[in-house]
Amino acid sequence: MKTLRRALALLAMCAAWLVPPSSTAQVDVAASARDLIVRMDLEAARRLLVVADPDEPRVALERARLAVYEMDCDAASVILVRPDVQKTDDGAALAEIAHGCSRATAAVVVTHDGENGIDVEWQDERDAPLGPLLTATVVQARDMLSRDLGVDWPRPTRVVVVRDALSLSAMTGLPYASAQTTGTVAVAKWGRVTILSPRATPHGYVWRDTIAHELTHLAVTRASGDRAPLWLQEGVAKYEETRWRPSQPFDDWPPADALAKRAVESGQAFALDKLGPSIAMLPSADAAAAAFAQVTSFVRFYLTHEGEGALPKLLRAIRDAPNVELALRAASGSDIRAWDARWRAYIATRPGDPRLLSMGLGGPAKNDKKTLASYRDQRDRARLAELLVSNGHAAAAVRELDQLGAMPGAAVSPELRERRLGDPTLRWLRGVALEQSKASSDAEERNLFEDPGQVISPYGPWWASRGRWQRGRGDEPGASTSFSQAVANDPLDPECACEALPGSNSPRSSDPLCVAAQGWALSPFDD
Amino acid sequence: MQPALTQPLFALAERWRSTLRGPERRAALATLALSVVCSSLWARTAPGRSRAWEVALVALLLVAAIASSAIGHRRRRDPSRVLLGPLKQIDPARASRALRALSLLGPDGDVTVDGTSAELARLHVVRVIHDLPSEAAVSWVALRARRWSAAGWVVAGLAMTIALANAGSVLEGADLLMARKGVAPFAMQWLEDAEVTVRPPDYLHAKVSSSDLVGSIFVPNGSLITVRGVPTRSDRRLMLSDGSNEVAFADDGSATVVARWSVTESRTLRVVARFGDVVIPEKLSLTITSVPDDSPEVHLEGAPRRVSLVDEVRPLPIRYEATDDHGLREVHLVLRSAAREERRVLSRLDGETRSDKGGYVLNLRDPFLARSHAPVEVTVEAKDNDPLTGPKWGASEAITVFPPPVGEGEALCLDALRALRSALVDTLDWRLGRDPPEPTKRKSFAADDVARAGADTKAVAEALATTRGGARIPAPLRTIILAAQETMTKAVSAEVASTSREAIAKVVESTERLVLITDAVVRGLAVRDARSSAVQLSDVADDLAQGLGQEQSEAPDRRSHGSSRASASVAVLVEGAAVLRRLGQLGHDLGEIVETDVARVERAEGDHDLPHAELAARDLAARLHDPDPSFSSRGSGPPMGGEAGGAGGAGDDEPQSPGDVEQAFGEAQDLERLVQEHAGQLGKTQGALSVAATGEEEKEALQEARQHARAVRDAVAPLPRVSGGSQSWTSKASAARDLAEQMARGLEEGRPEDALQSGRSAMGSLDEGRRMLESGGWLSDPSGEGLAAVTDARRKLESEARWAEEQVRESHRRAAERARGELQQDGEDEDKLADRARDLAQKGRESSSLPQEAIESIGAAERASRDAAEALKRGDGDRGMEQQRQAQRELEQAEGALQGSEENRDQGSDDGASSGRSPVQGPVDIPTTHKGPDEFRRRVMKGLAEPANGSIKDAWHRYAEGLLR
Repeated sequence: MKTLRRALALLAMCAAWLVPPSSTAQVDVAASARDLIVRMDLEAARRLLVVADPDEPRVALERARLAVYEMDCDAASVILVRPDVQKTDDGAALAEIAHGCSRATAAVVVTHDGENGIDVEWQDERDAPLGPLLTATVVQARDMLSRDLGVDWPRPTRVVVVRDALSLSAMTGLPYASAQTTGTVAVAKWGRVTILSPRATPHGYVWRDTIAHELTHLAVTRASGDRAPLWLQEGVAKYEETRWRPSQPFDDWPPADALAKRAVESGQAFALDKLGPSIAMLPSADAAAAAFAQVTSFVRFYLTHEGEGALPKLLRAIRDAPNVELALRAASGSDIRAWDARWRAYIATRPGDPRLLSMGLGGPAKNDKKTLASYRDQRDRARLAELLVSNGHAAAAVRELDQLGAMPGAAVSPELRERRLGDPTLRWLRGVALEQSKASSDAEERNLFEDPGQVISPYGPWWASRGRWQRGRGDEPGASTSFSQAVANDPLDPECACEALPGSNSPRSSDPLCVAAQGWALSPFDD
Repeated sequence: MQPALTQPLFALAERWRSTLRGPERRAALATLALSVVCSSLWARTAPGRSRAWEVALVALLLVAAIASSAIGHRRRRDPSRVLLGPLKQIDPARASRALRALSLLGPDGDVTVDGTSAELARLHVVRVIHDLPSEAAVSWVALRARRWSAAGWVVAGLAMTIALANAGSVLEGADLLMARKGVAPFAMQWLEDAEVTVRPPDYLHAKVSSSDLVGSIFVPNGSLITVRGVPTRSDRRLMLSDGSNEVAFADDGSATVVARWSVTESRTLRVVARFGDVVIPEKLSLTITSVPDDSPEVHLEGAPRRVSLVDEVRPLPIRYEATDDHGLREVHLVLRSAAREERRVLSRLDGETRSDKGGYVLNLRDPFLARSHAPVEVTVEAKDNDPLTGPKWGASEAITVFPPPVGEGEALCLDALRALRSALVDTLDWRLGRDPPEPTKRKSFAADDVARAGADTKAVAEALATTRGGARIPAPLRTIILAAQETMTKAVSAEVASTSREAIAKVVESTERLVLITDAVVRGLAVRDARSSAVQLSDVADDLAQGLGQEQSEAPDRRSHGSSRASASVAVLVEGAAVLRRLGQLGHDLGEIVETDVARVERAEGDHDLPHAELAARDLAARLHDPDPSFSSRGSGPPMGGEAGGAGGAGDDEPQSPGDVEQAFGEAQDLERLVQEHAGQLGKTQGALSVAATGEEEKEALQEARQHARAVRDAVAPLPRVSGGSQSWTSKASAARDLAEQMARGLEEGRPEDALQSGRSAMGSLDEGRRMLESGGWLSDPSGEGLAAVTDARRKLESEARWAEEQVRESHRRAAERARGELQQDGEDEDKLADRARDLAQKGRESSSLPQEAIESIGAAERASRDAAEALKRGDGDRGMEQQRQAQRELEQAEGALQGSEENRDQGSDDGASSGRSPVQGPVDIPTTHKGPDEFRRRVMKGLAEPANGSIKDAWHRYAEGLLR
């Protein structure tokens, strides 16, 4: 593959020298350059463009595109000021992105890691303490993707950490409304990963897996010549996003098969080839979650049937075949409809997961008065408990939480009890209240923290509380894993980054991440 | 040649020279004199050219003299040339012979021809020279000398004659020829009996004064100086000059000349005579010192000083005194902040008042202060009445008001609410920690609860009532908290009445509810305040971007302006970011973004990379214009990995704006909308009822109305036209006459309702007049004619008013018939509005978000609205409108109960919270010349006197009714 690309680049260079100055020939050069750029062969594209006629609008457009890929958004903006360039097919859209990128990255802090081949632009320089973790993630994910997909990586790998969804939108061209609707936190486009800072969300998110997810998109784009369909892009990205590290309790959570089954059964599933231009542009976050579950489940199903090496084979086929249908048939012997039918038959045989209901997923929303009152009661009691804890009345907080019936023995409906039992925020809050009131018992703490399987979603502070509990019991390896999970979920929460409750002695008080978290944090109970 | 040989020749030449020298010199001098005289005369018309001519002539003469002398000298030293002179003229043969003889010898006396004897040659030369006719030549030269002499005398005589004939002109010319820098060196007298009058500018209203054209005078700037005199010589261009500017004298037709000079600055004036580009001045001059019209002086009490708005609780009293040397025209209050300026007229004066004193109350919530984030300079500036150089402004020292950082007031309110919440959480903890009492201790248990509830009530009142940094907790939110607090107080009262387990649980429950509501208010308000503060800061960020853009300009002043603008903006943003961080999670999020982006701007500025600094500022502005959270998702929880899609999660614990708070704001807005829409509905019904009658009906009605109008005028014709005093019956009668005229006009113009109104007022006046007559006794109406006239007019007017009333009723009936369909539709619409009122009252009751009075008023409005709907549906327009008006009044009352409470409390807390002017607490002298109230009254009276359209008139009625209530 590498040899082929080199040959192509050489051919392109030779062609460039032979390019007659006619308009048609210049357009051909521009098209070749575009192919090289989207495959991230930027050096070859530059060589091709440097000898082309810069006055030709399409050539100018590709020069601007190259500048955007190389993070020289100012240069791209300058080129795209030309009205004739803006009138080309992608001209106006690219101009908007170049301007957005130029604005969002003006005077930001840039770290160049020549050794690892990573350039990171930090819109908020206070995020820079995340650098070591980010670098480690990128390095491991690149290695894994090279192995799994057979791709090589042009250096440097570019990552931009933005402070908010508006900047994410400006940098990538994703409509802001879509970013807000679907809760998009990262986009892999223009040869780079643009990712939202974990500080932008109230309790962080799985940012390291997200980086791996986005790198997978870049790899798939490179391997397929940017011709992979959305289902494949997203399915492979979901498949690969956790493979760069050892497996963890929430890796298949919510379970993709179960969620996809729910979606298929409720008629909310999408046809695989009709997902639209991006999952980030689906009408809601729940729809996006369902679509992710579908494509994840499908790709796993495909790999189970086609075995190891199936993905590089399929990506190569897609790159070389006239269309995806033929490529899929060439690689696997069946077209997408056949695979879809097979997968739907398979998914129908998969067992459901009752835990989805307790997560509020996969079932019709219950809006009866009793349910709503229960939810409201839970919200109110939890809030009262938070306020009581923050005022130093931990015992009263425990009393409020007791009234929730979350604990065994309380008289609430099994479904709600399940939900409350699995709610990591309630567990964490109760743990903190018990810790402060010094009324905690070993049995109760064990009940709260021992088994991650009892918790329905990852929550950084819960992991941190678990780590402290494990450390208190002398289980340092377990504590280390828990704190690692905490930081992977919510790196800028002081409890996660400093491995201690705010106000208490931290073993990591000099760690830059802990310092950054302490500088940033609100009170966990603030309004 | 040996000198001895030629000596006789040289002697001869010397004799000639001595004979000619005198006459030649005389002739030259005479020529020179003539040329000077001619040049002098010419100099009067073209001094420049004549001076050049004169210089050239003199130079020519000198050159000629020198050349002549040099040539003569050489001639006299050259024997050949001596021979060629007069000798050649007298005896050419002998002269030629002598020349030939001389040619035999060279310069050193040697023989030049070979073979010739030197001795003989010398001898020959001596003899030939000796033979020359020397005496004859001398005589010839003497003759020439006499001729030269004669010519010289002739020229001298000519020069003398011309000079004597034009002595004055020649002197002027000579003076002009000696001029330097356009001014002749010798002054001359040009005017006799010169007199000077000074007329100060009209706006000063000062007297005219006079003076001589000598010495010095002080005059107001803008004065007109008139110089008048008799010219000493005619046909001279006389000017009044200050050395650089001139004004020509004009003949006034009576042998005197006049020039007028406007004084704009201090000058020395002289009369000059202008000859081309040169003037000859008079010796005497008049020094004028211009006394300028000074700028007004303004004294602002307490200025200069600095005021921090956060520390202020009362409005800022602005007391000033402005004075001017001549007169003031306007006094302004000027507010300046960064690039913004606002001027407010404090006083308009007649331009003659030299002093003005007054005051103004600058509200803490003044819109300008509210919009300003950079320091605001408050000055009072006065404008004088100078029409000459344009009005001049004088400014006082400044009171510099430091506005609180953006959102500071709101943050203080939130802090207060947080403190309240904390106190209530403590109460909750206290109540949760108590076990139910023993039967014997129930009383003290309840008493403790009462005491605690009392303390909490006080804390709630204190937290809600105070204005902080110019901000207050919005009324709807106060209402919610107060309602919850009242519920808690009632629960405590119930517990006191019966200290049962259930009653205790109720108290705890109501305390929990109060805590949660306060918490919801804190969180909801924080979101709202964070958004509004961010939007305000977005303007500052825009300003920063513009400032940075200006800094990249080529123009130094623009650069400097941009730099200071950018610095001020950065300071405001930094402060604003710190405050934003206190406004809940959204505020914290946005505050961080402001800090981050300001850091980017500063980083770029530090690198002298202004374009990127500007881009970063624009990025910040774009972000703040859209103050959403940095991350949001319309899903069921936080992002779960991948690039998008929330799923699962920990439930509804996201910091959304609590629903109760949004609902409270929503209900206040609903009420406002309902009031507006109902007013529109009322106007619509009125419009339907006032649909114009058909042309035929209208024509008929107008014809009849004209007859009644005539009857009205006849009825009041005997009444006096002029009042005999404000407290006399005649004043009432004349007023009644005027009102009757209005009634008649109303009838003629087809406005029976207005006519009826005027008729009733006229009757009222007549009633008063009659009472005065009756109480005044015989003295006020000795003949009894007055009383009879008044009574008769009253009776006739009453009859006409009854007719007008009937017309109104009839026109309404006909309009209702015509608009039956529309009225039915209006009735249905009114019903819908009644439904909305009902729902609003219900929601307000359930959520306790509206005060009780408002809920009651909305209920009453709903009832009136239903009645109106019914009446309209059955086509009873009058009744329908009456009920609609009632409903509208009730709705406005409800709105007042919701908003007015805030204003009332504002007044109570003496912070002048309402916008615009408000009374000063201290003794502030309001200028007596201020015409604001008079002007307002005049406009109101004028407005009331004019016919108005239905909706406005209705609003007037409601306003008046409100005043009466």
